[in-house]
Amino acid sequence: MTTLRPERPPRAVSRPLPPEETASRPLPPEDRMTMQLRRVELPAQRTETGADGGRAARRKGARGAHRAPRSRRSHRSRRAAASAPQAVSGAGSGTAQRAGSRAGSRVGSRAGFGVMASRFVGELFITTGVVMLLFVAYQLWWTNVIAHHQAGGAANHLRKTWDKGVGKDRDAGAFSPGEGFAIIYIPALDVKAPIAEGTGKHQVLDRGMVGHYVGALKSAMPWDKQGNFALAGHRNTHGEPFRYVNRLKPGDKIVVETQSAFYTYEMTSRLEQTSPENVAVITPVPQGSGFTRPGRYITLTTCTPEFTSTYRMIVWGKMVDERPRSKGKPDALVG
Amino acid sequence: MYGWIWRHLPGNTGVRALISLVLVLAIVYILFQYVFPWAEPLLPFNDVTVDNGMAVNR
Repeated sequence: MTTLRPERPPRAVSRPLPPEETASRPLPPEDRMTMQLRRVELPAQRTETGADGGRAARRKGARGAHRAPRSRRSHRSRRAAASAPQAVSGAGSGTAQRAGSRAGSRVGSRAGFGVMASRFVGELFITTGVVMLLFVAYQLWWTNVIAHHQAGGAANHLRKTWDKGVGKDRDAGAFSPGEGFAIIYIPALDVKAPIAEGTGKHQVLDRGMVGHYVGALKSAMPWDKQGNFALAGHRNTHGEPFRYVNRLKPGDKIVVETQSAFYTYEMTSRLEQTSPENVAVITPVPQGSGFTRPGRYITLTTCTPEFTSTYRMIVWGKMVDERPRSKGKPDALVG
Repeated sequence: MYGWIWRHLPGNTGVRALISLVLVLAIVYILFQYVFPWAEPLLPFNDVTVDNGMAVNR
């Protein structure tokens, strides 16, 4: 930016001024401020090369203004005043002109410190703003990139493990927290995400995976004879697997693939929002779901409204099909 | 601050611009890779997990 400046001053210098500007010779404070702020931004070479607008010329002009006879003085400082607002000079022009007769250079260097300090603070503010914008980009975009990558890797790893036949998915105690054990498909939303044990943020959810409630809120597994398979997923950021669960309609299929089988659920009802403390929604017979008897259910929980964590949105479904992997994909995943 | 950095970079304008670009990219990388993941749980914007609600408040 600084390199574009030097073309302007010569024109400004050669332009004659209207008489009323000549009259207001002691410059108004705004002009002084402008000069002080501009002074530092400008390239230093100009002092050497610039014949008219340089620092030396201006200081000479100011000194001349103090001593010289009336006619010369007006001519010199008019030139200085004209060139100053768009001036190009190394350092010390504004203040040097103001206090030129006394000790121009000393005052100039002191003002230079103030200017440098204020510039530093200004740049700090700008930097803070840019960093905040970067943080927004990180949250809304980069976490998704990373989480999709990690979730894809986890799903592939899961498939490989299944193909090798390691582990038995019917051994419910076998899964350690953070370990993936299934893949969830929601064809209506084009969602495919691994399911892992636990709902820890760092271990599971922030990796783009869907978490299965464990511990105090332990819920059933899909292969259990009855129970509620309760899952949690991010609504926004970090892969946001459940971003559009609010668009699910009754009858939409939710498929859970495990090592031995595909479990197909059908969405039945939804609770738009509830308090995060309302854990009754993931009990074996979930409250508010319309289910009255124990059965094989699925519950998806996520945050609502979007981009907040004030409430939870709940989606329920019931199992309609269980299909061994040996028989291939269920209808919901075909076509 | 930035002016000071610019003046202390070696080379002509082109080389300086290149170095500046590399520096900016390095800073963005450090922010995305280390600083933001560290700062994220400390900020109130994204307590989106049920973990922070249901499980913990239980």
